[in-house]
Amino acid sequence: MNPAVDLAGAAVERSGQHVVQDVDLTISRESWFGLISANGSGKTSLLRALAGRLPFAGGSCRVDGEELAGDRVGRALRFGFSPPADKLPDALSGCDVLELVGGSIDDVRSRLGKLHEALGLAPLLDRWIGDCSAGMRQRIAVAAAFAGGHPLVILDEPFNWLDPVAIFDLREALRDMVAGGLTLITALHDLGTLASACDAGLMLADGKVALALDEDILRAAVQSPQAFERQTIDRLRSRSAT
Amino acid sequence: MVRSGLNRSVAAATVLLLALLPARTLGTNALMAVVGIGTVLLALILTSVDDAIVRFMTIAGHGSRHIIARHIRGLASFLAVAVSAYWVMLGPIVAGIVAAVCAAMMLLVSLRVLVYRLHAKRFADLLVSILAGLLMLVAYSMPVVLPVIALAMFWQLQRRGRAKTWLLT
Repeated sequence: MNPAVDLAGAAVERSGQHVVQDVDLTISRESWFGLISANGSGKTSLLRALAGRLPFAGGSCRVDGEELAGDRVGRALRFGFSPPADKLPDALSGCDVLELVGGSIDDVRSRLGKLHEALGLAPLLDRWIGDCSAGMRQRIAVAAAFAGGHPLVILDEPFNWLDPVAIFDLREALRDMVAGGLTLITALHDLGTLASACDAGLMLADGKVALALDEDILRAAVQSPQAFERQTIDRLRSRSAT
Repeated sequence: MVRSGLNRSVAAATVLLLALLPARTLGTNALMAVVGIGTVLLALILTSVDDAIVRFMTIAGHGSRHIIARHIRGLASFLAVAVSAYWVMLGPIVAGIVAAVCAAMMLLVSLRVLVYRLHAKRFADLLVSILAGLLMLVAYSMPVVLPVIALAMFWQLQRRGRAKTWLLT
C-alpha cells in the first residue's frame, strides 16, 4: 500500500533562502506523525509547503502515490490545515470561520464528531473572534483543519495556548480519530506528546533531518521518558551549536 | 448572515426612499444630486471591506469571484430592491441614478477585494486610491476606452491574485 505522504529531497525557500533542505520522510496512512525541532528550524515552512500553503523549491512530494511537488493547489486540496490562530479575522464569529472553511455549520459539526466536544466549540460559535482569548482562537483554528472532512490533516503546534484539560481532551480525541482512519501530521514542542501519542516522527535541525523517530524509538521513549528527553535535547543542542 | 444582509438592504432602501419623498418637489438637477449623494452614503454603509476577512478567505482557498460575491451581496440586494421600488414610485431617472451609483460602488468594492488579496492594508488602500483616480480620469477624458482600461486592470489583478489563493507566507 502507498504511504500517505512520501517526501524525497524536499526543499523550501523563504525570502530566497533555503529554510528546509534534503528532507526525506515517509508517513504511513492512519498514523500520527510528529515533527519536532528548535525554533526557526523549518517545521512550519515544511508543513505549509506540504499543505500547499507554500511552494516546494525542490525535491519530490508524493501524496497517496501522486506526485504533487509542482502542484501547490493540488496539495492544498488534499490536506486539512489549521490556519494560524492569529490570522483569524476579528470581525467574524467562530461559526463564520468554520463555514468559510468547510461549508454549512451542520456539515462541519458532523465532520468534527468527537472533536466538537473536546474543543468545547459550542459556546465559541456565536462569539466574535475579536472577543476570543488566544486559547479560544486556537480551538477554532484546530477545528478549521477538520471542517472540510479531509482524511489527511496537518496541525502546526495545536496544543499552544490550550489549558491542561483542553490539551488532554484534544490529544485523546485526535488519537481516537487516528484510530478511526485519520492520517495526522503535527508540529510539536512537547516531547511527552511526541513519545506517547505519535506513531512516528522526525527531528529537524537547521532545516535538515537530524533524526528519524520510528516506532521502536518512540516505544522506548514511553518506557524511559527522561532518557528520551535528555537524548533529544542533547541532539538539538549539538545541532544548533554547529 | 444572508438574511441579515438582505434585511439591511431593505432597511437602507426604505431609508433612502423616505429621505427622497420630500425631495420630489425639487427640480430635476437638485433631485439627481440628492439621490446620488444619498445612494453613495448608503452604499458605503453596505459595502465595508475587511482586509483581514479577504486575506483569510484567500488562505482558505476562496477565489476572487467568491470573495467579491460575498462582499457585494448586500449592495446587490439593495440595488434590486431600490431600483425596482424607485422606478415605480419616483420614476426612471431616480432609479437610473441609483443603479449607476450602485454599479460604481460594486466596481470599487471589487477593486478593493482584488488589491487586498495582493497587498497589506496600508499599501492596498493607497493603490486603490490611485487606480480609482486613474479610472475616473479615463472616464472623464476618454470615456470610450474606459471599459478596456478597466477590464485590463481587473484582469491583471485577478491573475496575480489567483496565484495567492491558499498561499500563507
